[in-house]
Amino acid sequence: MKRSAKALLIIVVMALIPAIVKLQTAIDPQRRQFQPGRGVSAVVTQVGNNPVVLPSQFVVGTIIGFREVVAGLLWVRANDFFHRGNYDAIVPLTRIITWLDPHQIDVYSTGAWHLAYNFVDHRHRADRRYLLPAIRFLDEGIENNPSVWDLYFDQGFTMYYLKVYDYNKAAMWLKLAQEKGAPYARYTQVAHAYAKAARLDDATRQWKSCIATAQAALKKDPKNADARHLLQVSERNLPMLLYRIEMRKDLAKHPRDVNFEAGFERIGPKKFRISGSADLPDTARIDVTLIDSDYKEPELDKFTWEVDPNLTMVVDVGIHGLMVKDGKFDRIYNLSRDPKQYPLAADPYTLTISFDPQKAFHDVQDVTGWRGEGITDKRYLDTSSKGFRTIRKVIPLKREDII
Amino acid sequence: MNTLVIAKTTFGEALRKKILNIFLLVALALILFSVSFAYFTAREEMTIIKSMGLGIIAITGMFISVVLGINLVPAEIEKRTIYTILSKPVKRHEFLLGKFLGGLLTVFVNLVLMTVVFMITVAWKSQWQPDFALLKGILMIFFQLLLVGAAALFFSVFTTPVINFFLTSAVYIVGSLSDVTLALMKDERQNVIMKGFFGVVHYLVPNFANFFTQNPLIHPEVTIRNETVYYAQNIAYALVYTSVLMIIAILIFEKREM
Repeated sequence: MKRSAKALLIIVVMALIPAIVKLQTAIDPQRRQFQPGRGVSAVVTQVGNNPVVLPSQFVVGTIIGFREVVAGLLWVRANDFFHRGNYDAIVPLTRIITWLDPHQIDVYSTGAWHLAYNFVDHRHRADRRYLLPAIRFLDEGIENNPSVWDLYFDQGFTMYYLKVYDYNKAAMWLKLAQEKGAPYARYTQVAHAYAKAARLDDATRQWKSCIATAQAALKKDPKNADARHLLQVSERNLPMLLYRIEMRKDLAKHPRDVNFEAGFERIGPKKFRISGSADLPDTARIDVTLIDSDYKEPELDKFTWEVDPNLTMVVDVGIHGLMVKDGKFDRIYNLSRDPKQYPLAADPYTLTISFDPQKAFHDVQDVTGWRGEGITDKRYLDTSSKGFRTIRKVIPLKREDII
Repeated sequence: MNTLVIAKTTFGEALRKKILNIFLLVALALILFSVSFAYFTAREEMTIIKSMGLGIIAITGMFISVVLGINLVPAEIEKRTIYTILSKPVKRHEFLLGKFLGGLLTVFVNLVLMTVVFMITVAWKSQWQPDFALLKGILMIFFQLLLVGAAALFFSVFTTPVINFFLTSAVYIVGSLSDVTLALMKDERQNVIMKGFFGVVHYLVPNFANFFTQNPLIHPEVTIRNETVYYAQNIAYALVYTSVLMIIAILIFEKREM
């Protein structure tokens, strides 16, 4: 090769190096959207007080850029743990997977459900301490995937509707899910949440909107099975709602005295009976909570599965509450079998035994009304929640009363 | 013309290499194996199949590129065939370019075979709805492998295959860690010298991480801004960097004593 050719090539190289730097400078700011998540830093990190370490066989894959593959394989492993009943192993895995790939919707969805529902005591009572982390985990999923309806729906239905029983928040999230493109089958849940929240005008509007949406879709495509189903469900539910509004409108005029009474009886170490009476229809549920008196909901800005190991939360509410039969309710609690879930390390405790008409089934609400307007009680009526009437008895307990 | 003849010969030789065929067969088997995770939801299943498929193609392609690239020149020297070739009216840079293009063609053909199996697998699991967007990921893998091959060939003109294997692998790993080098370069806690060092590493080591674009392809619901611009910039980056490596390799090879 001639000298002049060599010199020319050297000049070309010198000219191309700045071009490489310039291209890299242009590429860097855009890479984030193609490579979301924590990347290499997900290999080893700290969550709460626990180090989370990626299994060594997956480290190389993560380092050389195959995060999604590693995330997928970890999810396969998490699934395996689930079927073997090793629930404790799943949560850190979901944490790592979503750090590696924050667009794994099903991992957020399943992980949150798992936290809220699957850590249970011997009576399959969920460990309520995991509920807030589950909600925050979904919050994080929504933040990372704002355009995906599924996680909004999970937050609304799986968490706030079925677990927290906060129907206003449930309605808000479910409405967002609808706006983000949820299928027609999910629209009806918004109306149910509005009705549960006693927002009857909103519920009526939602059913009417469902009917209009379904009719418009069927006009475009008469074979649209989802739209037909939505129409049928909505046309059945709207008159039912209007009928109930009419039927319950005068309940407040003659409220029924529930004549509520409830008691606590220790029957052994960490074993006690909650029983009482209430003039409520059969199938009405009595909520029971036993929580550290000084408990305050933690400010959990970010997801962590770290829960306070000294916190005791016995929560039997909603459908899990004590069923009223022939005006009586009764349940024996044995906390001695689940010391991890119920450490009973604090002192004192607050035992709350209550009835909340909002959580009640339709037949019970036909007596109590949506807001409890159909009930009263000489001793335990609680009107502190604006616009709602509940029955509530609070029993302070010392640790020695329980253990 | 000489370059194309050498490229064709190199391609023919590469196809006869058993180890490359084994890589390919293993990759094809793994792509098919990825469908065995059938107990997930449809979306999870597709996420796993797509991510594993793209990952397998990228890793296999990388191995093929490295194994091929590190042996292209040393094998000719070892077998002494290079003396016969260079004694004919073949210039050294033509030989080197021919070798590179032959290797690249081999990688391309392997990539096409894996892509065909991958695309059929994805279509099969999606009620025969092909996902052509995945080809964008394959395109990026190809340009990444172009750069890997160029790096391997570059080192092969002055090192032995064993050293080259470790050098190319090390460069690949460092180049894949560019989110770390970028973070360290911008980290206020670093002193000026370290910031400068990480800056040099970030901008001058081939940045293989640029080509990891599989995430939005696996999750089609994700919205990407200026996608075409990003792909175009990456292709330009690969072409420019490959040109630089090849020019330097030619300059070194021209001076090398045979």
